[in-house]
Amino acid sequence: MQIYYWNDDNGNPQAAYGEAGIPLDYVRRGANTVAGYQMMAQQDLSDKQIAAQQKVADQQAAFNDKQFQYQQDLQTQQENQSDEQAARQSQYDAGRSEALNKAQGDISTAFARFSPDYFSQYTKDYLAKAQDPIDYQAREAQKQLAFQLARQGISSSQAGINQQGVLDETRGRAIADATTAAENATDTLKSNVAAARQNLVNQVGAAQSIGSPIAGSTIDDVNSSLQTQRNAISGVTSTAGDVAASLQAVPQVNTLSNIFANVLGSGGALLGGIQSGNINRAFSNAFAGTNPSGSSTRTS
Amino acid sequence: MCDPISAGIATAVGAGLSLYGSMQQASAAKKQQQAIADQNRADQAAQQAGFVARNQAAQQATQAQLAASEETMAARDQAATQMRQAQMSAMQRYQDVLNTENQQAELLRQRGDTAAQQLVEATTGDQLQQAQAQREQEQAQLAGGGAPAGPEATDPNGTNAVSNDTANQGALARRTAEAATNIRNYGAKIARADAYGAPTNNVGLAIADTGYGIMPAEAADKLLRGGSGTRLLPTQIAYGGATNLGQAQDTLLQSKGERALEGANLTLGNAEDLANLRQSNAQTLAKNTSLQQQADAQYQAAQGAQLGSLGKVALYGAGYFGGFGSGVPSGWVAGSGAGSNYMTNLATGETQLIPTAFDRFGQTLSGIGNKVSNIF
Repeated sequence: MQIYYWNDDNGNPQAAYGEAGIPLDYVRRGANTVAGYQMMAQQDLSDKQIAAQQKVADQQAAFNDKQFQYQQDLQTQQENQSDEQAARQSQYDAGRSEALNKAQGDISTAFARFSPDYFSQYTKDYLAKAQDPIDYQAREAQKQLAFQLARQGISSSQAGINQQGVLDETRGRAIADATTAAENATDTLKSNVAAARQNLVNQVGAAQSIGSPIAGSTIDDVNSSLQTQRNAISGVTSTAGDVAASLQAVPQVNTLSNIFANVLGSGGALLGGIQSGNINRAFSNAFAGTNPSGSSTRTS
Repeated sequence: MCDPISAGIATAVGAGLSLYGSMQQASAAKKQQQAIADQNRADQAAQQAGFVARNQAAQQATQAQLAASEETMAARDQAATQMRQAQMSAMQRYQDVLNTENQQAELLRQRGDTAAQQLVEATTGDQLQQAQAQREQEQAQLAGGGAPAGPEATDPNGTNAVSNDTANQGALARRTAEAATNIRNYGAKIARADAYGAPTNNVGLAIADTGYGIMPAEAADKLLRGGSGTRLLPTQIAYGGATNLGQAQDTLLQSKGERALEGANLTLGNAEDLANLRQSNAQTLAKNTSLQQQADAQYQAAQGAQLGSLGKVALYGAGYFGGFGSGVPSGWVAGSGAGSNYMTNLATGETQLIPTAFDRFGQTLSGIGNKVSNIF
């Protein structure tokens, strides 16, 4: 046992009686035995441990909360960005689709004139143009045939009539052949129109593919891209009328050769042969004592 | 032999000392017993106090652990529920986006189906056969326009005598009719031959029309497919984010719960340590006190034993110097050899066993009593 001395906070001397070996701090707190001091020290240690444990837990919780908040903020930002991007993508796709619809409408308007009546009229026009030189040559050939028959004095003869028939047949066959050419030309025109229209559509598709398939990062970028594509497509559709107009060319018909030359030439040869044959028959009849000129007309 | 009175006094003093020593020893034994009993009571009290403290600490720790566990589980359950709801919402949105795209794709597909149906209807066998027949008819009709109508009035042959010849006119009419028939036959033949190309031509045009007609829908379908990933991305991010956030929050709550359990365990451990220390201190103090008391009692017993020994020495001396030293009274002679335990009265020759020390002590006390009686 011993007496401990110290000064309090006010500087007043204090004293206490206690067992030896007790730190003065604990004596001042009232410990007068070593066991009491140890209990107080152990309690202090426990309080410090628990306080430290709580502090560590609080710090860990604060750190975890902060990290979680970061992750949550990042998630929110990602969701917002992706939502906005998805909305822009839909707007972008819708805009491109509308542009394509409009382009197709413009092209259809430009090609609206190519109706079935249009192609029917084209066939008739083609045939009329092709028939014109045929008729011209036929008229001339008919005159030549008449003159030829007259010169030979067989205007009113079966041979002349037959040649007239051959001439008509030649004209008719030429016109029939011209109808085939007219139909084929119409088919070609239809194919050309379809090909031109398809070509324009393909150009629209190519123009539409200029932009990125993914919408831009802002709505202004989206509108800018759409405008760029509209401009590109409008360049194509504005030419649709020119393309359609270029397809309305006058029917082109190949130059017609002299299709009646053979008729006239063969007609002349035929008539010469008939004359010769008639002369021969008259000569033979003369030898046989019959009337050389016969009793019937030359056309019988 | 000494003076009987002195011997008696010596005997009395010796007996007193011996008695006092015995009493001191008895008192020491009793104190030692009491010290052990006090230590046992102190041990029991310290153990009881320690047990109560540990038990209360364990109960408090159990309650704290249970509360922490319940709080943690409630928070984890809430977090898991939120995560599940967010996941389900993301999945529903994913499905909604798909449904919307599928509905739009269905509309586009219907356009394609309609166009394909129109194409099929325009290219059926009957349609193609009809197209071929129509083409043949149209061309034959056009070719029929080339049939001759015969010489006109303005014809050079029409005004002369030849053309006025009825026979000539009849012959010309027959030949012209024959020519017209031949032309129509020829026109029909080439029309029929050329008409074979009409079906394939119509099919090609129908295909071109179909391709042109479905272009916007086809392009829209490609756009729909191309942008689908971007439109589905938010829901995928939302689902993954909900999962990650839920797992992170669960881990966070688990960590918080573990900290709470560790705190409760630390509080329990410290409380047990304090209780153990308090119990150990009390038991050590009781043990030390008991040992001290037992040592004091042993010292007291040793002192008593010393006093008892001194008394015995005094009694021995009294007995020895009072005639009871050898145990053979005067007038008696001790035997020798095998009879050394016997004594013989010299006057009467009587033989008796030599009294033992105890007998002699009794005789001495009796003598002291007689002498004290004689004195008083």
